[in-house]
Amino acid sequence: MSKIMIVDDERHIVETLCLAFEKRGYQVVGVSDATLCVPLADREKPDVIILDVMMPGMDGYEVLNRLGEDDRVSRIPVIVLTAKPDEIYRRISEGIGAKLHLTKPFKPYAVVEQVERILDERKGVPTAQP
Amino acid sequence: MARIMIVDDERHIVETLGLAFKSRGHDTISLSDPATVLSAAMRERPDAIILDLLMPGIDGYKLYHDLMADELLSSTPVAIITGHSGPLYERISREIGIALHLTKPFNPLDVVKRIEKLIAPGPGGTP
Repeated sequence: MSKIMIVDDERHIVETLCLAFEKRGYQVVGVSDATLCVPLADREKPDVIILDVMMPGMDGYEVLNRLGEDDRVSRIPVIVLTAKPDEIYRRISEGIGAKLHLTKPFKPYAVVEQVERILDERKGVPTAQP
Repeated sequence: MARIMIVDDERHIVETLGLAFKSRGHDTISLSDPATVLSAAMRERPDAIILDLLMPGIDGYKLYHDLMADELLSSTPVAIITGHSGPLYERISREIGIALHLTKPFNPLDVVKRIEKLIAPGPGGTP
């Protein structure tokens, strides 16, 4: 079963997403301290990382950049999940390596479905065209 | 002579850069409230805009995006100025098309020269 890492300083976001993924049978690692994301990703080897942007200590862009620069974790797809709704932030996320840019507020199972689509893509499963 | 819009919520940055541009014969439009930038830029049509990255309420990247969405401003060179050091934000600025990425602390006259190059990139230098 695939493992999902959720990185957000807002505990209720982590808990909500953990619940949704666990109900679908996924293993979940919740992280509320952004500075721990890279070492934990290396240890846990998640299949997908869901990453908030605005976090104290280290912002999500910095985390995304560090993940991309570290050969041990650079192949893990990252979904940015942010309260910043504007198109410019999507360009920034994708420009520095995010697989997908999603915005808050969100429907937890819609996030699960996006993760499943990414996992299917990686397994070579054909996905429905929008 | 060019008209340069300088936007930073830190007043001393606006003042320092304003003095440096004026010493080279340029006009400046100084703003410390990011909410007023779009309307001021549409009204004043500056030759270049310097935006602080981190400001309360709205960041420089969002402001850049809003400015570029205006047909009359979309070719105006924009510089981002930030206290973030390191290559990440320089990369982000490049990715989204910012003409010049500057970091604090800076040499004001160096900033002026780099903006002058942006405005008149051909041989001969300043406008």
